[in-house]
Amino acid sequence: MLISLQLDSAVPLYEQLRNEIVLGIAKGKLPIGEKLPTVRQLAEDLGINTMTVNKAYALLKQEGYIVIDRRHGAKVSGQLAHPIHAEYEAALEKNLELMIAEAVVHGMTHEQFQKLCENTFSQMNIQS
Amino acid sequence: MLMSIIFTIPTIILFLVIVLTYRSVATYKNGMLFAVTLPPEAMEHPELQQVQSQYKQQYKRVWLSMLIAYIPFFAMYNWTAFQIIYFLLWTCTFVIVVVFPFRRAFRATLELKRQQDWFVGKKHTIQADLRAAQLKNKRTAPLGLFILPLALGALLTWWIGTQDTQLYSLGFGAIGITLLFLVIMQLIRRSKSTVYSENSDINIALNQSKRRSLSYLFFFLALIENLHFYLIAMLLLNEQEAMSQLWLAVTISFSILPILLIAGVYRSIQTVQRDMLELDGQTVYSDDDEYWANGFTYHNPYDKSIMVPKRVGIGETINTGTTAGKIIMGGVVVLLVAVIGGVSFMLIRSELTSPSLTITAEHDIAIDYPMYSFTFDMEEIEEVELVTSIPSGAKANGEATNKYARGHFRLSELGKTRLYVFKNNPPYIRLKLSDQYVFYNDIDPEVTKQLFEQIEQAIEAAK
Repeated sequence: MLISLQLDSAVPLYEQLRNEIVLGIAKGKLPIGEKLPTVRQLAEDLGINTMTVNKAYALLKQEGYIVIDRRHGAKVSGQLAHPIHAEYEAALEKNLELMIAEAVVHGMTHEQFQKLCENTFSQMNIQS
Repeated sequence: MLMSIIFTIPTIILFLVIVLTYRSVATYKNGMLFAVTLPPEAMEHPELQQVQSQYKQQYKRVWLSMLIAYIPFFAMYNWTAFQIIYFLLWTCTFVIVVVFPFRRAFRATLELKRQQDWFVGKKHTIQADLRAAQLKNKRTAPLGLFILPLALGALLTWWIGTQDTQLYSLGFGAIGITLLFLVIMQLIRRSKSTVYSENSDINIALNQSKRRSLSYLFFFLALIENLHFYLIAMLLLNEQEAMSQLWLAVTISFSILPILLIAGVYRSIQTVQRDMLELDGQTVYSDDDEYWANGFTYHNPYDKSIMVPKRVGIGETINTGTTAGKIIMGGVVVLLVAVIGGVSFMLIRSELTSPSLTITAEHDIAIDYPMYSFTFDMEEIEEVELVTSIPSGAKANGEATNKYARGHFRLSELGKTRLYVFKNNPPYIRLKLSDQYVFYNDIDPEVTKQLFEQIEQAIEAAK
């Protein structure tokens, strides 16, 4: 799978990297159990600091998207379709509240928003 | 005159390489024309086609006039020092002026691109393929293979030692070049994988095959260069003038082999790339133009790679935005200036100075001449004679033109000899020492005779 990072974006590189990997997992480009490159390999290939990649991996591990095994390296976690944490649901609701508020202020209708959600969901296709 | 022809062999090689390289920039390939990335539709634009035809005219004018400008080189065959300096000047001029039509075309193309908004791909993006990052070196030749050329180099060094210990540096040169290739191989292994396409399988295949081809290329180059040093050794060890010229021609012509090998391998790498990407169609583009300010120089401080594929020609070029890149570039420039400046200086100095022989108060004979001065005790002299001819031979380390010979030579019948003579200008003072001969004369035969008498008297007085 391809990772694309924008150097002049307001979003920091480690966050972009984390986002790309999450998107990759959801869209099926990174199947469950797929091995990820080591921190050093990825940093070398992207030409960025190892600390940046380290931060991204640490974040992903903390959020449960990947597991890091000392011997085998980083892998996409097999535990993804587990029951939703209450914390995660609360945070999601908060983010949605803001997004929907903005959409409503911009004049978006309920149906339009639903359509948008459906389209986006249909792009997701977790592979195992 | 024969030497002029032998010296022209590297000229021919250089000329062909440069002419072919700058001819290829005028065709649209790898999504680029005149080292500017363009979409295929741009090629239909009449102004761009005009830039192309103008370039072809100007570029032809340049190489034709440089070809004609080379002719005086042959006319100077009797003044070797100036001939060599003319050769260096011609080469520097050629390398510089051939760029002028290219720069003009490059600027015009870039300007047109901006006007027509022909941008291709995203700017300021860095990309990586996760699978290629892990698998890129799977098919690369193992580093252990380099033990073979290293062993060859060691064998060569030992063999040279048995022939003449003065030439050890040749063996070290062979080993040094092998080590250099080893270092380059390591750099290639550690370099980042290239993202060619959205398709991961293609990225893996192309990265693996390029690294495989390059690793075996450098391995064979290491072997070939050891052979090359062997040829140089044969050149320096032989004693006959005719064979000398043959070995020189062979050694110089031999350099066409690595050049052809490199061109061939890169050509096949590019063909594989083109074929795979044509089939696939998901090629990934990026617009790096701002980092290629001159078209053929790459300066990108955001890119950590030290070497990137060239836009003009074959191979990789240095990224002057990295510290290592700056050091390498600086080192190469310094080396070039030092060699060209140094050689020119030495040549002019040789033309203008002559050796001088003095008998010192301590009963030594001191021959003074830049780089080849020689002092020895008169007691070492076994024989001294005034002769009218010098046996033929070959130069081991020194200067030899139509007019004079100075330095270390290997003469038939006599073996190791030091010469400090003006050729075809008898008589010559011949001194036999325990391990070598020495020939000396002055441009004025009368002075030579006087020196000879002085030496004879000094030997008598010492007894």
